[in-house]
Amino acid sequence: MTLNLKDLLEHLFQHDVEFVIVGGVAANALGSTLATFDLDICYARTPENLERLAAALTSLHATLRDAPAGLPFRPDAATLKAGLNFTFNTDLGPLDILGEIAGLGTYNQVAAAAEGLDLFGMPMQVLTLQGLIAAKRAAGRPKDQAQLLELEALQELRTELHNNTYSVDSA
Amino acid sequence: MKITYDPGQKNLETAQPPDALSRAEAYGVDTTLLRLALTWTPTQRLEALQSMIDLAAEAAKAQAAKAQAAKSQAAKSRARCDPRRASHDSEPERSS
Repeated sequence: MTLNLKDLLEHLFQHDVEFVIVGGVAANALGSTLATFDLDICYARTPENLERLAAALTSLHATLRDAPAGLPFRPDAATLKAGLNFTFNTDLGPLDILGEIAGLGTYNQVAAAAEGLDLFGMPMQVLTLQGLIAAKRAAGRPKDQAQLLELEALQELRTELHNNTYSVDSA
Repeated sequence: MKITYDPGQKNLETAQPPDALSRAEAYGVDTTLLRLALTWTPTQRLEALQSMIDLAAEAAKAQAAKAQAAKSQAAKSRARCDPRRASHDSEPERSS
């Protein structure tokens, strides 16, 4: 199933799931031009949020991605609590849910490194460029090299833009 | 000793590492596109991403259809060249 970004975000939002958008979608929201084909989120592991996330996943008919066909799996709160990071196929496309992120930590640390953005008319928490860069550096995978360089370039461009705006404003 | 990143700079003492933009450009990142993306809203950027995703899905679908057609064609050709079938086809007609 191809990712339907708007509907998937809307679905999680409507289920009141507490999460931060991370990974390629966060990078794109902040200006990256590299394509990504799944949505990565870091989720709060409170009992209430696990229940809400489980309900959202169940109604999306989430199944484990890359797992043997027919492997019994039910995305309920107990299963989510027993695990940490999961990769799913859903009715609205691939969704990866992460309980923690290398280089940043668990949801609370990730949320502290997030900024609020309006996405498709919904208030969303998105990991900042600094946060994305820290995560990419910590992952240290060769395949992330291009994205890391792009994120660092974006950070420089944003600083440049901010400084120009500031100097225009103060002129 | 100071490490230099720019082979064009001869003086190691004064050489400066390139900035993030130069590093990214050297790696093939299109910084003009990044500058353009920064003029859009986050939603517009995600809409552009969704277009890329949809295009890639269409391309994959077309590729799969093409592969399937080629497979069917190959199966037909094999059947035509099958010696058993050929000998059957060339069997002399029996005179009545």
